[in-house]
Amino acid sequence: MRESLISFGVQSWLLPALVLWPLVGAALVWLIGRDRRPVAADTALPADALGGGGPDARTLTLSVLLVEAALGLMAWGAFDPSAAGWQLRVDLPWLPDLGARLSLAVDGISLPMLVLTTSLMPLALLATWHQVTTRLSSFGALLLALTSGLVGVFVALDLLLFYLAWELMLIPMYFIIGIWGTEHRTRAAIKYVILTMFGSLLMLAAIAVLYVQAGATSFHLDDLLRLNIPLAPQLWLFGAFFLAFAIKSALVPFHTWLPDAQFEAPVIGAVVLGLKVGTYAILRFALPLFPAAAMHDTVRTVVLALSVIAIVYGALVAIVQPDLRRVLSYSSISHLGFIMLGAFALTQQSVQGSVMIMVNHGITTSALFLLAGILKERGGSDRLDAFGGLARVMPLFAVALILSMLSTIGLPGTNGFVGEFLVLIGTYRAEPLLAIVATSGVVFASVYALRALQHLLFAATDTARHGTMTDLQGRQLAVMTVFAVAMLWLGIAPQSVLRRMEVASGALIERVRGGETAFANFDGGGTSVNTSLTIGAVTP
Amino acid sequence: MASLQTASGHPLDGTLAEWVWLLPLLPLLGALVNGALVLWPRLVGAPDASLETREAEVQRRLTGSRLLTTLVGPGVLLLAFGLALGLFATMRGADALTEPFIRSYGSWMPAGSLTIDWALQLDQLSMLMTLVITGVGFLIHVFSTGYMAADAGYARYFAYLNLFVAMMLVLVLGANYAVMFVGWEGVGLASYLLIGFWFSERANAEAGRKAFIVNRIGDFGLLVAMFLLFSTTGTLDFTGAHAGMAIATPAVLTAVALFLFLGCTGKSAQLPLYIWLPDAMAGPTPVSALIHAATMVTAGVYLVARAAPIFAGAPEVSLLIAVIGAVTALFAATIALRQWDIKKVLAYSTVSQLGYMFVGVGTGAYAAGVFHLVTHAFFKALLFLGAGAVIHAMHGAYHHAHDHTSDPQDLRNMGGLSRWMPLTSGAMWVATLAIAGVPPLAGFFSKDEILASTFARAHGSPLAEASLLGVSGSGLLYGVYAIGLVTALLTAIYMTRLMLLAFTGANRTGAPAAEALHEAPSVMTAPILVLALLTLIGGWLNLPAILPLGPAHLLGDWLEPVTGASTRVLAGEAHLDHGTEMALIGVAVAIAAVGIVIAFLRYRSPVRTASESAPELGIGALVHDAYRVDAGLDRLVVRPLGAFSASVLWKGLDQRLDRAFVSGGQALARAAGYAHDRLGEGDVGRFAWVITIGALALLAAFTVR
Repeated sequence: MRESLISFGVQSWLLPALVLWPLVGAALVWLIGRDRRPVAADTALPADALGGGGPDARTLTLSVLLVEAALGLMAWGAFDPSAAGWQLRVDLPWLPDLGARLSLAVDGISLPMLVLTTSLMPLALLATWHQVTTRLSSFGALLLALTSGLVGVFVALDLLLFYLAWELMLIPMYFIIGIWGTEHRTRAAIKYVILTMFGSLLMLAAIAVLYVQAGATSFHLDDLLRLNIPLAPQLWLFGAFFLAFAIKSALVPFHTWLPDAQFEAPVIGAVVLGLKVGTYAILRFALPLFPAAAMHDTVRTVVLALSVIAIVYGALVAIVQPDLRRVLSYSSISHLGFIMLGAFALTQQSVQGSVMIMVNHGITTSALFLLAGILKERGGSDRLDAFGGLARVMPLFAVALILSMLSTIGLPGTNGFVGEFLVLIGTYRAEPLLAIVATSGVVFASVYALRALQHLLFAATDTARHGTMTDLQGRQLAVMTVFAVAMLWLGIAPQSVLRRMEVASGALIERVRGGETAFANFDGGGTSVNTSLTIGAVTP
Repeated sequence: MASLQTASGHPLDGTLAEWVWLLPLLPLLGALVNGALVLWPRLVGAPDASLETREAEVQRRLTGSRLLTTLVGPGVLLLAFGLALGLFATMRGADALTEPFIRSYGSWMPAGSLTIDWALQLDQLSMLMTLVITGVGFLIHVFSTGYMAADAGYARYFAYLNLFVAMMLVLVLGANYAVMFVGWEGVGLASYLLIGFWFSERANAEAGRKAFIVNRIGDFGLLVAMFLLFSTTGTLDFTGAHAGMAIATPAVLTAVALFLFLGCTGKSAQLPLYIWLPDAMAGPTPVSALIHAATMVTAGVYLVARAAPIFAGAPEVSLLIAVIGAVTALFAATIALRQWDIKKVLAYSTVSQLGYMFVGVGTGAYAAGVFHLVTHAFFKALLFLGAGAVIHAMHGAYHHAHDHTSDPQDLRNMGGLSRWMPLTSGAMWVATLAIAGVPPLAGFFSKDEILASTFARAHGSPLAEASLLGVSGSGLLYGVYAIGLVTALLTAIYMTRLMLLAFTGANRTGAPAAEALHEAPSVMTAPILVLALLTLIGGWLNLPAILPLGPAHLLGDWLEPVTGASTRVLAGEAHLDHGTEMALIGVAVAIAAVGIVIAFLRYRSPVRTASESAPELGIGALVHDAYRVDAGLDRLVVRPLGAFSASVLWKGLDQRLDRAFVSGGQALARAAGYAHDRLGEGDVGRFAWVITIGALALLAAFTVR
């Protein structure tokens, strides 16, 4: 498989294609995509009843996303799990005056995120097919631009390029919330933009400082990694990067924009907001660029403490939320704590677990948001107290919701368990007390998850109001089946993902922990092979 | 791991034992088939029709597949039981089975030095558990085909029940803590689904939720124990971790043992986490028999026996287990005395008997604890199935009389049922005598062995030398023994009371209903009679050497390779001389006899029916309400936590934080001289463009040299 892909020369064009194809698609959809008239969306109208010429915008968007997903799977296949360093690397000149380059590559940490994103987008669109009905060509174009930004964030090695992709995510998302959102959309959208923008400006300043430090010749991560920055400036720079990423990933106490944004956004927007780009960026940039700051006692203590607080706080607040989507948002805030904890505990298990949760969260929480959207589509709301006994009316929906919730609370056998277990078992080796407190999250998680199930699915059915709600069908049933298979597959056989991230995680720990050998010994396999490597393979 | 075993050569290599993977897979397949039968009819059908029409259509389609469910549900259990018997014969035939037979079926969670395989382990302990699970499980599946025959959720029921057995087998066959944990939480899930099986009744679903959450508190302990084990020994495999713990410090051993035991108190309903089990009776009665009496709730006992090398190294924790077991046994037995609901009596009785098992494994008499687990599986499953037959009959009778207010589970509404249900009544009397401790029934031998070993270890054992909170182990163990005797007395009383109220005296069901009372169909009585037979002869599994009834200590010898060494560690020099042992047996028998006599004297007088009875007052009411622990917890923990989350964290902290950010953002925007009242106005486009252009300008400012 890998050999045949390589023989096509995919390594020279695959990543640029992954970034550019959605942009091309966005232009296509915007220019030639045809909006459906805002008539009853469910009825299949004859072709001549539809306004204008050209292909249907929604179908066109889906086609572009499907091609993108196929490209993502090719990257998965072309990746060599055992090799260290960057793969599928492409390096083209971009702004020669500045030394900025179009430098793209993946490693075992970015690859799973990339494939998750490209696979998720068409599924999310399919499951929310009838939920957005107006200005479809603009919507499709923005969604595709957003996809390009997401992919760019995961594959960019050049920090200027990364920054561009980072902002490219922000703007379309702002419009998606602001135009297609619900009642209080504007407020939610502006809150989201102001907070995120505040963070990214800090990051931009820090990037500029790094650039100057490196002799103002390159924005390339590998070059910046070679810098030897004294501790004091490292702390400032780390702070700027960390704040940007912490806001983006909604770490307590910078989390309050998330529940509102995910509530007001159209469901597909909420799904994208659930993707863990912020924590990815921490693993990719903040930790390896500023190892001394990341290992600094105070910094470490603060971040680890915030992570554990997020776990417990998010779960406790999720217990009292009135709507399914807000439960999910606060559950995400709790999960984010696990990801941060694993990332900063910096042991082989905790880092791999952390990346695993990012992937799992993308799958499980997306499935749950899509289910919330389906509920809203059929029942007009996703308030927990508005329903009851839906298991009788919509058994397939109930199965999907129960399975996804079980995955959220980390039932062994589902994907949710693998990540959480690895984070906790790895963290315990470095920070036993924090790990124990964090483990209490599993109890609170079961409380909020089962509460939601209880309210929605069980107790007596109001047949008069909900008796005619239709169960999952067609498109949505197919999408949920894919999610269910993914949750069980990654729960039972996660080694295909774990194996791919093992080398990169080991290299990251090595880079950040540097001289500390206490954990290297214990970790045998993964790290010892790579002890001579820094994060980028190119570095001699 | 597996390759190591193969290299050294295991006596079971290449035998039927290679098929051990089929054991959990068979019921899992059953669950999938039954699950498909439930969901398949939903995939096709008119979506626009009303709920009633749709449900009628689904039922019509399900009727066709009913026979398939009846065949597959119990069928996979029969196959698994047959395979288990074959494996047992193979193991009996092999010599020198000192090491477990381990097979790995692939890597599960590899990360750095952590390697967790999907690995199964066949040894004497997992074999025994498998026989009980599949054997008793098969009988209960057969019973269920009768009990659930009229239920609309017939296939769904068997899907859950099969899933439960699959997970229970994973629990006992897993070769490392992580795989065991899959089964551990998997049975919890099945239990959750089955307690809330009739989910349209809010209380049933609530009971399932409570069970799951309380169990999760225990699972928290189990998780932490696993983290400790891994950070100490570098592995979660039973063999490797237990070997590694042999050189661990006493503090680590104690911590691991404590956290493991916290897990056990959840799953096995011991103080303080017992609160979910009485509520779990909301599930169908065969579920109570299988999950909440015979198998799942004994998982904690299994775990202590499985981790015996760890507990043997932590005598203080072992003492604590014995003490908690004893206190739980007494506590639950007193509550059982005052229950009117036939299933509640049995539920508290189960909590109490689990306490005995923990006394056994806590005092290091691992074989005795497991022995009681097995005999209890026989007689308590029998009692629950018998209660199921009674409820089935009562329910049918009230249904016949169109009486929808009377409670078919209330003992006060029964009376004289043996007239209609002689088989059920007879079998339940056998089980009652067994649980009361009347020789030579199964319960007598297993309970006696636990009490005798407790008495023996109160002197000359490391447990007696150890101390807990300043009290000497010796004193504690004598106390545990005394509590065990008192509990035995109470057990005899409450069980005899149940039997007298249900089966003797005048009938209180009411005239129109009583004429519809009937014995259960043979598909239900047959499993009950088989269990009665097992209850009669189960004691021969592990006779004491002192009584010349047959070969002694069969089960103890069978478990010797697994728990023998640990048993000897905790037993130390402790022993009983001939005379003392005979005396202890005498005391135990006397206690049982006294209890039965007291019950006959006390409960011979007629009682009023449930509707005529005045509510109890004072101490009686307090005991009847299970000491109002639930209400207290609700007031002290559940509601304050909810209020704290809602008012302090969410409405207080979270929303205030949010407002702070918004006003901060507004101030920032004003400072920038723009958008000073754009917030909330909806001029989305312009704002975004300004931001975009601003960002690009900043970018340019930084990058132009």
